[in-house]
Amino acid sequence: MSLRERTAESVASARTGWTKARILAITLAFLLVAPFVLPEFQVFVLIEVFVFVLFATSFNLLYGYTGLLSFGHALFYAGGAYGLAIFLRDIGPLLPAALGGVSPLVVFGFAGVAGVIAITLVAIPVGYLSVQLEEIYFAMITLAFGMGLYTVVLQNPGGLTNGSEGILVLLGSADVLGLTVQLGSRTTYYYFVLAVFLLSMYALWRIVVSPFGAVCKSIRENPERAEAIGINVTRHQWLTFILSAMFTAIAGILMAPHHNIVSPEMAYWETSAVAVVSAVLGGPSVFLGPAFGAIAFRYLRWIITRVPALEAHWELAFGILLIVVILFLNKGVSGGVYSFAGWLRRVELAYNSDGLEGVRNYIRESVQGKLSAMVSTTTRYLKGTRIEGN
Amino acid sequence: MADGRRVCNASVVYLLETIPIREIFIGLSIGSRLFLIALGLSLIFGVLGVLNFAHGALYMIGAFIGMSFTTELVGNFWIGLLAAGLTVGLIGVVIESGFIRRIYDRPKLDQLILTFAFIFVINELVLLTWGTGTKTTPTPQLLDFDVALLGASFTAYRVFLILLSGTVMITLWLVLQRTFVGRVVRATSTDRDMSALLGVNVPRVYTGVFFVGSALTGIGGALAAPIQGITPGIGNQVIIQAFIIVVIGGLGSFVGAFAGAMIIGLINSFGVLVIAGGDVFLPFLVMLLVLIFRPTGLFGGGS
Amino acid sequence: MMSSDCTRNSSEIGSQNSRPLSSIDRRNFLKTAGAGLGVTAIAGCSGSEDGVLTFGCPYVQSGFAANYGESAQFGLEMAQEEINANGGINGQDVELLFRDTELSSQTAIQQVRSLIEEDGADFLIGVDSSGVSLQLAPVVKELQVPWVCTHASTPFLTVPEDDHEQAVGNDYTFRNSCSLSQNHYGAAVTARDQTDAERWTMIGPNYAYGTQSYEYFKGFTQGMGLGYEFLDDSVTLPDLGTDDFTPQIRRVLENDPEGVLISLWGGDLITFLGQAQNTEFFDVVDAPLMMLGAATDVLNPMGDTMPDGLWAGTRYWALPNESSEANQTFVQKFLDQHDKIPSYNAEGAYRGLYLFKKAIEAAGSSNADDVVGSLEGIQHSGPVGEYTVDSDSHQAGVPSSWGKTSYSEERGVSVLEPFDPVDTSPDTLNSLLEEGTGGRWPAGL
Repeated sequence: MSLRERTAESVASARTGWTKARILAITLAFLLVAPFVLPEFQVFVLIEVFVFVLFATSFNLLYGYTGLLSFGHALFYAGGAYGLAIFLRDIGPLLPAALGGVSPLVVFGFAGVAGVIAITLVAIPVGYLSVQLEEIYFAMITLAFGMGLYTVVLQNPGGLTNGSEGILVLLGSADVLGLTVQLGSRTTYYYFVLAVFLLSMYALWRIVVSPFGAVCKSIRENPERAEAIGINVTRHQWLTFILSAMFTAIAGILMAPHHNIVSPEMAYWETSAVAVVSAVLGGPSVFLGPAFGAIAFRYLRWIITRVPALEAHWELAFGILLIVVILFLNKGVSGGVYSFAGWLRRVELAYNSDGLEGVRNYIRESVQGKLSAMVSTTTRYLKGTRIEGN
Repeated sequence: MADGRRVCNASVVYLLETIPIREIFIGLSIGSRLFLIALGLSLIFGVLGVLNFAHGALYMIGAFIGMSFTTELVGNFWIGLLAAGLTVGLIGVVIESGFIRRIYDRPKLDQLILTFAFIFVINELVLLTWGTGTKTTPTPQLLDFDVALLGASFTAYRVFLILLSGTVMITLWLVLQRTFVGRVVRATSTDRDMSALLGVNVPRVYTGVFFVGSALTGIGGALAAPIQGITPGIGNQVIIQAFIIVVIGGLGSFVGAFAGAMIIGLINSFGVLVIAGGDVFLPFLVMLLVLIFRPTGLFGGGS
Repeated sequence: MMSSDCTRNSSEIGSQNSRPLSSIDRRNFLKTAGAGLGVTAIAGCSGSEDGVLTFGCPYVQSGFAANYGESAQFGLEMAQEEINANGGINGQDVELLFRDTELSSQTAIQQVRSLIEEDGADFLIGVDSSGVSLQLAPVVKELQVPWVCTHASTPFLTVPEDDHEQAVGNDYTFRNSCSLSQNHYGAAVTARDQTDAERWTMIGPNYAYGTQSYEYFKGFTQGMGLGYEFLDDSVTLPDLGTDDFTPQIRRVLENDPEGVLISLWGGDLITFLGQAQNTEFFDVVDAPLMMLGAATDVLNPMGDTMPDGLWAGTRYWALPNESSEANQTFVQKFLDQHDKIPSYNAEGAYRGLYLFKKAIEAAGSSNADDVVGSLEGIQHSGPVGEYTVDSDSHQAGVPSSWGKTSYSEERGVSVLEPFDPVDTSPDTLNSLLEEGTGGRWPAGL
């Protein structure tokens, strides 16, 4: 977005009252009441969406902000989940029952923290070795580390990971202030995930807008220059790598009790690809880009399950949808969403100044403009374009 | 029964004595099969800079076409090999000129995701075309015999695979080093903009390279058909192996692809004898070590 | 398509089954709130309706194992057609909803929750992988929907969850197909009766099924007191989808085994058999015993390249010497429709729907708990023969099918000649395993 467009956008949002703060407030309000207004299964999907959004955003801290493409983030996603599951299975029962009724809650909390700590300890050496490399080599070394965990988990060393069958993660109930709370019940778990999700996203956002984040961006734009002005690029990338891994671990930890299991496929490279595809699909250059990508990714698949004819050939439907999105939304889903929002705002402005007539005129003009643009794009597309610089 | 046991023991003793030669031979034959796939991947990456995720899916198409021609359509393996190369090459051309070319001006990763999306499409199209279940392909009659070599016996088909991969390697090297086309391709891969200024039709070179790279993996698939069951999932298994090979050998290096393929073949062959499951995690370990100590691969940095 | 389903299904929203909803009935809330969003418009379309019983069918429909999902679908659709043509179940038509599990437990859980919560599936029939089945069991228990498993074979699915650390058996989980323990009892009996091999090892896929295959075979032979020697060092577990088994074959042969338990399956077994014939495997090994060598997904593609005279097992054999009328009709109809012998997966799925029919009719209602009650201890018969579903474990007492491969010119594939099914009481199996493994590995019968 150019500076002029951006200025026009903010003027428009100020004039219509659709400020970012207001949209955020409405979204939050909706998420708070969601378990009571959405169908059961949509609440289930929404929890998954939180996890995927957190996963993709954490991944993008590294990719979007320092330009390092990791193809092994499944290592941290699955690693966190396995850390939680193993702690719950092996150490949980050893913790004293003295904690009383709240003990399941405390154990779960400890297990989650244990998962994050374990992943941090893993990410320190893995990150150190990985950030020595650049571009595709970085992608490949992270892929190797990720698949390394996958093969280890599958080999079931010392009975620790239970091989291909994975480990069940079932949350019990806890007595909190005299109330019995089913930790695994969907509504309870929804609010728990929502809280952790919002806190994590807020933390990630603070990192991105901090001086630390600014340094990240300078590395992405021009690593040589960053190095020249005295930034230790490798060290900075290493720190970002560790932070990214920690938040990814939180995502994995949240998913485990939601699906009731941890299983080796969480560590497979296709899991890493979910984060990569989400980030690229959504647009990695804006903070919420991967979030839009993850939302699109999950709901595309869901919409397909609702149509038996598509579900029978879901791979074809999904692949084609993905291709169309990549080809036609060149700033990703988030770019599409933002420009649609801008369009809606301009419609509202037209209404404010000229009433319905203005709206009609504006829509006619813009649709005609879009159509002719589409026609010319398609014509160019069919003729084949000259390759431009990348 | 006692006689039977003696015969058994004798053959096992015989077998143990010959292990190294046999292991090496099997390793090389596995490597040879992987070489063509890795070569195609490396060629496309070297010239276009695109890591083609759909490469495994193209390999699968090649295997199915080879199977179809051998068992149903014409009953001839060699025509199947040719058809697999041509068809998969043309599919590659469609993917390149119809889709990837549209987004050359976008970040490289967008192109990677685009090829990733093609995996889904191709998987489903293969299921729709050839149905579910496993398909088998007989060994071509011409090669359906055993060869005695260094006191051990090998199937002629595997010997053929090894010879073929060596021939392809040498031919491609000669083409790239000694012919005009080869110079154009090398120039384009070194500096695209400069080549374009010097009058090279870059889009045509790209399409040509995508054709050759895809055709190679298609032939690789057809070659695999007689020695393994073909299912609609073999692409996913092979793509990761191909990645490992090109990383070990050096992205964009043909000699590297050859060396990498043979290393992975030998790891497959020896790994399982050294430690259970060694064939699975050793390739990743080797890749990791190469990346740590020689990130551009054994033969990386220009080819 | 979608909108017509919606109008049809919305007649009885939010009233089926005994699942607890929150204090506000969300579905009705939605209905009254008006489906403003496209998402809710589609999502609101659920709940079972009068006159239709909905069966959720999660099977693998993509990737290398897609043939299992397809053959299950063939079997289920055949049963559905027959049942609906003959007045349905208690006068209600059968509706089948197929979903792809992608052989992944995460996906399977998503699909099953969607089937039950969004589409109001009353019952479940599925799934193909042991791992998926183990992880699905707690979900089924939570949602209280009766499930008949027709393929996954892990014994732990039918061991009550409190009886063993790894067990997941619960009120709502049943299995009508041959379990791993029944199958491996068959293998042990075949090893004892049909071979002279004393020194054994195995090659199997690198996941739970592979390791359990070895343990159960060991357990049963030890329980029978056969005194076999097991060459643990040459046990080989290649990954699923291995494309060259030649190195693994060398490892298996390293210690000169007489018998080899081969528990590879599907495409892997086919690849293995092709490559083994190019080595000395069949010269060295007197008794190769293929756990799933007689599955039609192996025999059909192998055609005349299947080695003759090998003992091979499967979970249902379509062409026994003495075939019941029910079996003949089923096999003939399947041949007519799909031009191939029905696989065990097709038979299991076909029979699974009929098992539900009998149980629902016996219960007189489609209430989940009533149907569970009548499934327990039910006696049923299908193409595989007569069997009883154990009231404690919920496992069907079906035989393990074993026979010797023999190429049939007439059919163009190998058949089992002789065919020698192995059947025995759950008690025998339980005590043999107890004896052979000291309770480490439960039979789940």
